[in-house]
Amino acid sequence: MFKFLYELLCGKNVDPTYATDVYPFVGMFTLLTVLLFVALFYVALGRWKPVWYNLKHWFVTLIILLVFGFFLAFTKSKEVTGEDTHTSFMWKLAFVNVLFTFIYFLVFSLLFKKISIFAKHTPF
Amino acid sequence: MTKNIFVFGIGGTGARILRALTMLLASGVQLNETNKIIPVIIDVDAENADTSRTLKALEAYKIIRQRGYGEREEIKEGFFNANLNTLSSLSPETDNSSDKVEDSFQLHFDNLETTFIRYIDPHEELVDTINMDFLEALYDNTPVGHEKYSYTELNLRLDKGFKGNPNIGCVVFNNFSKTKEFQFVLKSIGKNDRIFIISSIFGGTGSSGFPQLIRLLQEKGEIKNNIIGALTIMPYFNVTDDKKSAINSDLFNSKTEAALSYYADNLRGKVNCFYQLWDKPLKQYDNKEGGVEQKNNAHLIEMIGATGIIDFINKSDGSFKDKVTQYFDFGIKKEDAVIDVRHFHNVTRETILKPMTLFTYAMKVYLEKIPSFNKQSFYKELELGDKLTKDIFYQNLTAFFDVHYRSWLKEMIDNERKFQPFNIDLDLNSMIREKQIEVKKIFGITKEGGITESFLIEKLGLIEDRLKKEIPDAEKEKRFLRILTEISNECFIKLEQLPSIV
Repeated sequence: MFKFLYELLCGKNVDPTYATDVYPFVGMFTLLTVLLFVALFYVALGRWKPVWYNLKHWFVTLIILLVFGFFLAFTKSKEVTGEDTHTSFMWKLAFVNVLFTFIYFLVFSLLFKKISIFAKHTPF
Repeated sequence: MTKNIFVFGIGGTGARILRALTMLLASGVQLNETNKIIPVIIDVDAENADTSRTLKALEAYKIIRQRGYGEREEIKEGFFNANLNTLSSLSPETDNSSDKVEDSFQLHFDNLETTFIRYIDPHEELVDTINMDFLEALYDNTPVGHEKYSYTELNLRLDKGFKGNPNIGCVVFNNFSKTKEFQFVLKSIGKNDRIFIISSIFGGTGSSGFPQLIRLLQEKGEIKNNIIGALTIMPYFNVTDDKKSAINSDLFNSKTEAALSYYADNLRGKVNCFYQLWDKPLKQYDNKEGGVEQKNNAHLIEMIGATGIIDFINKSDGSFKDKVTQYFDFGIKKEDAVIDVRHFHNVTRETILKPMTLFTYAMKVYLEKIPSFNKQSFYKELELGDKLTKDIFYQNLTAFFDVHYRSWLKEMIDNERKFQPFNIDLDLNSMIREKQIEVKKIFGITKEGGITESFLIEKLGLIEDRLKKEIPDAEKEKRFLRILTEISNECFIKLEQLPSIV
């Protein structure tokens, strides 16, 4: 699934390790991390106390995840492919992963906000 | 089993005590033996400001209660739980629809827009007869053109009240039974209903209306044996000297004495519970004869009077003795110029002052905090953004808290004897007089802030989320009233207990 998603936006890379190692790892790790953050935001904190629940907090969480998504893809692709420098494809992959991180976060937010108490109306 | 309680407030004092009763019932004071309370204001002074203020508070209460709980009578807890309603909300068997009365808490009288002499003699048939000579001997009849003319007894305008003249009030109340309104009252009172009558003893309307009302009620066979309670207020204020006014507070004591002996001779055994209240007159009010200018500040005595009504309602049927009058008065722990929560005995503190404390917390949270919580989830869930200003329930709730309850508390603070249980202009931690909620700090960092905004946001969010499962979206007003009740309980937990005199 992740191979399909990344190749849809980045195009196919001749190096097969992207398809076998980079896409599944980056995709799954990004997805689970976003899920964990969303669960923390809406369930753990969002039902406990009004300490981290409003739109400002949501944007800060999003930015942290976007940065994480960028560096995860950027560093993992270099590490797995063994390239000496960052190629233009790696930059592209990192930005695409930022986009997927944003989409996951938004979708999970809409799903999880209903079970929150303090963040029930975050982001809208 | 008691069904309805009819509370008749006669005259300006009656209206002021009904105002206090409205505030106590709004605060959720517990009632045991009733389904519905029917306050009936009997005041011939059509424009009396005290009466119109009470009517507005009652109207606001009624709307809040109806929107919050509907006509349900099983609601026994929380703010505005008592079912206060108008006489016309009852549906006695009437012969035709013209017997119905106006949907109001006040009984309206016809034919009083005239002077006393025109009321007795509308067609001027008594002029130059012996009857007129007799009337002129009984009543002050200063001749036309004299500077005192319009203030004298025979020339008093009846729609301005009886201005301290019970002799005139008696004549008017004697005809009361013939009115359509009073016939409706008689038809509305059921066999199990209780009746309570509030009056002052030193004025005109109350002192004349009270014994007449007892007589008229007991003339009807079916309700002859209904349980009747009465509260009579003896002088607790004076008015300034004004030679042009028909009201003279020098006569208050002699009128009181005369009325008390009359009550002792004529009402003993006819009233089951007789509550009597007085206080040393410390305050001199402006001498206003009635109308829009008669707007006296609320007084502690009126609040205590309202607790008498609560006491009467909560008595079990078995506690009344047939044809025996039980007398009650009220005392506080200590004589003081400023009275607060500490001065009351434990029963009153628990049954009256604790609900008032909770209601005052709710008032401050509602008026001062909730509007600023407009980004919180509970606020959006309840759609308060639109509703706080546009919905009739919230409009009335705001009016009740701000215009009626807060003003009532402030008036009692400004009056003498001063009643100041709450510092209503201070923050929530300092709201209870003589009992501060302590804020604990360690190295300048707040460890326990008492009732803070974050505390309120947290509790309001948790309460709303829990109540959402119990009370559906179709009853958001009911949910909101429950939220207010519960958040004030949370504030009270921070307070721990009411202050007391050691």
